[in-house]
Amino acid sequence: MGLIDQAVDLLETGVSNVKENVKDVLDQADYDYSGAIYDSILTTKVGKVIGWAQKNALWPATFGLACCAIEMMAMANSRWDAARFGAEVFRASPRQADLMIVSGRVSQKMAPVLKTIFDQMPEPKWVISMGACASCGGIFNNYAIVQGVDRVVPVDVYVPGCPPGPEALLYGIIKLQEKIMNEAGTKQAAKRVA
Amino acid sequence: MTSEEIVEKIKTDQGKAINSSEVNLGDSVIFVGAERIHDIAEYLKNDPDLDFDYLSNITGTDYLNEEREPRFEVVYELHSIEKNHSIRIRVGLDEEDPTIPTVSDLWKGALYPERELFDMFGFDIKGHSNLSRLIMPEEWEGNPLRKDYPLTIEDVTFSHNREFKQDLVKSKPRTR
Repeated sequence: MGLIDQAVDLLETGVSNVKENVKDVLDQADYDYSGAIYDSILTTKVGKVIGWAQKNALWPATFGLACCAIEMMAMANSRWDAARFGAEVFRASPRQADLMIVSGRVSQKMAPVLKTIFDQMPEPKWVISMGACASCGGIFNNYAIVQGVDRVVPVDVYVPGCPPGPEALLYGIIKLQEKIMNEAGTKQAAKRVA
Repeated sequence: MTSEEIVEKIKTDQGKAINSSEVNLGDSVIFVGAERIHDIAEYLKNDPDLDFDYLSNITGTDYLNEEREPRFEVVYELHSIEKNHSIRIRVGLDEEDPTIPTVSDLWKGALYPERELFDMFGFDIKGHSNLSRLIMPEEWEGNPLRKDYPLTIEDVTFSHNREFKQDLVKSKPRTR
């Protein structure tokens, strides 16, 4: 046995040890990160993503009709803060809006105007009927007032009250967001842009 | 002039043209036939002592189901800015032919109230330059301020009387 043989043996032992160690480490890593692909990559539908984006950026049209409009304005200000739900950007042009809050009674002469504004809004669009008057005519059961705005435009969410407070309207917007999310990626959502 | 003086002056000047006159709660009121209203209005406006240069308002009334003839009445409220006195002219109109001449040639401001009369009561304003509906939509049928116009557009189904309510729900007509 020479000194060289002894050195070769030591080297071989060392190399085999390293190999074993590397194998252990790789096995451990395989075990630790076996679910990595599921943790780091989200699989979803494009429609769901679009719906998520839409529900968090509802831009209402500036369309105040009566006393409900005061509550609608209060909803947008800092105290109730519709910005928390992405619905604070009231647009003066219906062409930049995708949500119409019908806030107040609609007279017979206002109905065609309301319909025109609704038609001018780009798709997809949603309608919240705010208050008793917009929903069913309220106390105005007479010749002058349309008995429910759903006879003119399709309504997604009805908010009861006379007038409903800002928090009630916020709840209506949250309900509308739920509706958008439930519809997202389905045929109903496709119909809205058809 | 006081209301009594106004009524007395009109009686002496135009006694034959007016039907009757009174001072009601301090207001001078004259009753005029529809065929004489334009002459009387012209006299009231141009007479230097009366000088009714301002037409405050024109309204209508419907005395359906009341012991009063004729059924309709047009009420003119005149005021003199210079003299600071007022008068009310009541013009009765028949149910069959509610026609009245315009006074918009004397007071320009009569155009809109007269359109409102046409819209709300269906009175025919002779000589009006633009007789069309003012408040209701153009294609509307009926005159809403007539007493025989339906008060509600929909039946109210709420009632404390349960049987009445059920009947109403069953027979509820199709709404517009």
